[in-house]
Amino acid sequence: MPTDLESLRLIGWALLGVVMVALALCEGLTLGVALLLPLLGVDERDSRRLIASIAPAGMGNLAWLVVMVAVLFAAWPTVYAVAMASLYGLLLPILLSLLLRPLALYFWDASEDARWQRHAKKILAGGGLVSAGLLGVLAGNLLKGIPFHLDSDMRILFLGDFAGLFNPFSLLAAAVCLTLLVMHGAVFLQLKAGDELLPQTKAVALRAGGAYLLSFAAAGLWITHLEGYHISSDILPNGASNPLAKFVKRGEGLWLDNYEHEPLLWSVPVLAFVAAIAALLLSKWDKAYFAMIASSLCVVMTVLTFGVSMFPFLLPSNISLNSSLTIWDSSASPITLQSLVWTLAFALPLMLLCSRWAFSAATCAKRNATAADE
Amino acid sequence: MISETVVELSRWQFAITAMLHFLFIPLTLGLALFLALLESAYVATGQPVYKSMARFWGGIFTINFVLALATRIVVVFQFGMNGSYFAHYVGDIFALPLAIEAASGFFLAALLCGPYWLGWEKMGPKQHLLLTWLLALAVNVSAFWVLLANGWMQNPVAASFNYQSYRMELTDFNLFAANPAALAKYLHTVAAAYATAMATVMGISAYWLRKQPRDPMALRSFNWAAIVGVAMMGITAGLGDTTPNLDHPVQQAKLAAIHALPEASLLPDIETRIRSGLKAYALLQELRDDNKDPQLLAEFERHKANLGYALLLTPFHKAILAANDKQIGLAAQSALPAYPDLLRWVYRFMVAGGLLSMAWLVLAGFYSLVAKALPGWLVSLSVYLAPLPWLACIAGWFVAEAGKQPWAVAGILPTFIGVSSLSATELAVSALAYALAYSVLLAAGFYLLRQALLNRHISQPGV
Repeated sequence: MPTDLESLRLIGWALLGVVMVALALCEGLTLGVALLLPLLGVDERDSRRLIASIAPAGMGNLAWLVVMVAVLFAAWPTVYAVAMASLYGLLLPILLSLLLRPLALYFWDASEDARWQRHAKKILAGGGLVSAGLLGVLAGNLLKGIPFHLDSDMRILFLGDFAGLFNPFSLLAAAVCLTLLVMHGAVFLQLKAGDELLPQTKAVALRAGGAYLLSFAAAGLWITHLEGYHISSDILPNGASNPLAKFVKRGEGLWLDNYEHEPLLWSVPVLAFVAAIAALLLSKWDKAYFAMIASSLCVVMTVLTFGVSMFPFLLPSNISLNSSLTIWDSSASPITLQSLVWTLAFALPLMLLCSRWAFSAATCAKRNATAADE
Repeated sequence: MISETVVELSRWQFAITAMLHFLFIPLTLGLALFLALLESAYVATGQPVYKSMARFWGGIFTINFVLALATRIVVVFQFGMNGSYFAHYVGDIFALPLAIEAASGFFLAALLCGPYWLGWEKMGPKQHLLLTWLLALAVNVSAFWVLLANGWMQNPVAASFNYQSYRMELTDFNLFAANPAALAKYLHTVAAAYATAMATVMGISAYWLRKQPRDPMALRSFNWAAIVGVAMMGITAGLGDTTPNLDHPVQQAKLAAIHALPEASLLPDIETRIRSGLKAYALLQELRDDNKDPQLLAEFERHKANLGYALLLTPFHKAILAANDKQIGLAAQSALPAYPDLLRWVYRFMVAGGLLSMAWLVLAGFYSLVAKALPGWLVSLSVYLAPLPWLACIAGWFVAEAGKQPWAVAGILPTFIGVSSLSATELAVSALAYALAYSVLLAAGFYLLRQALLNRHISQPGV
């Protein structure tokens, strides 16, 4: 086990990446199905199928979000502090929708009152739209940079406004996020929700996948002209965490730096594109299982594209460039990072296995839902 | 400096969201083990009454647990949203147990929630039993790590200020994990949670016994809960929470408040610490101006443990280095709990509630175990006394948290320094939004619980 800060910071970043990928794959399914609820869950039987496909794993999926936030907090406390305080306005609606979701998911049919079910479905669908859309807006703003400033005591000042977070680029990022999750959810339903819904899920998957390809390509083109960030002073990967000790420059297309230095990285966004096309074709040819694998690969590669482009930045600041936070200068201390890396090295593989198992329990739920219908 | 309105709004927002999470913790911890025991009895004996009991209490547990999980998500974000300076300043230490908890107990418990609730008919009895035991284990593991974080705020061990990154950093994981405050809290809190859950089970069973005195499910639930409950109440009261007895000035102030001891004797020590903290603060400014003199650093190391005390001066004099004796006196006074009488009476309420619950549980345990028949008055009494241990738990939580004010982390970071630089408008709007969402959540939760209690039936497929 390495004990130097440089390795710990890199391993920590990789582990955070694994958690983010797991979050996108798992929670992405809940959000995708929630987004499809108003489209596909027209009558009660269809709604029951949709919700039954996701309910057993639902809380486990959401747990990945808590894991991601807690790992970020422990490994990069300052990044957590700045992100939570600066993105307050975006996070609040997400939080409130998440607060109401679990009850709606597990007890949506717990009352014979038709209004109860209607409200529960509205909470699921509305909450899905709010969280998926705003998470996309959040990702777009991370790429653009957040208007925050750190003073010499490390007090965080947010100097932007709420409306400014809804800029054209972040809206495009939200479109990428929404179309990706709808496609992912539709392919999942094609696999899990039974034959009656097959024509609808296939049609939705095709359209959402097409829209994803368009918006992902548009975001890629935009990034070549978007102002990226770059550390212009010496990087001290083993230095004490102090974000104010470096100089940062900003310029058009700087987010492509990593790809230029390491051309192999181009495979990441290319694979996202190819996997989406494969998912669409496989879904069309009724190979739902393989379509699901391709769609999952597409989700993974989209998340990685985001991470690889920003490396080593975690939270760039667009008004106080040198306040930008990177993995090298805002991390936890060596002892904390080491304890965290040890914990995650043991826990993460088990957690991933458990998450997979929860979905196999979901398959049982599907069989039962179909049996209940007959 | 942040305005007082913002500080107050932030503190209230955090306190209320944390409190609304804590409401659901005792039942979660206590019922999970009870469920595992009931289900074990079912698998071992095959008697259907145990299955009905496990299903019924499982329903109550799941509603409560889903509320606990949902409110927990908010708390994880709240540390940074409302207390971003706190998150930066102590996150290196405070967040570690939270991350370990998220990746162990919390993740497992949340993951098993769905399969537990929806999986009764979909897996074999033994598989489901294993899952219930894992769930009970997970919530208890989870409680340990959360209380380790919480105990550290009461008694911040293994922490040292790093002037380069301007925050507290962890110095030793083992020392941190063996914090006496956390261990004392864990046993006391968990045992209290078990006793509270058992009291709730007894109260609900008694409600049913008043309607049908020979109801086998209610009788058995009452007897089981009385026996487990009396043991747990004994542990709770026997151990107590020894945190206030720790040799820490903040805990001594709390102890003085709850036992009505004279507090003035603590003031000279606090004043000395403020003066030492001011020295540290002055040296810190020189260090940060890139003065690399080793003697300066050594002098700073000697005084830096009291740095937090200097921060107490901020409300009295902005440029804290220029504070005069009168302001130092005022700051020292502000380090004592602001409302000692309130603390004392809430503490007394907790103790009285605990003792009364103890007497009730002993009586109930005696009649269940020895006399084999429950007198009518005991059944009626049980309906009304059921919320008492729960109220005592909340009172205990209040004494522990309010008793450490004005500190967020005892002796290290005052609460008013820790809040985010938000505007009063943002906080007012978000407070309204929270109020609305929590009202909907609580109303829906209580509606479901009421339905489950009155009808013994939640129209979940297969229940």
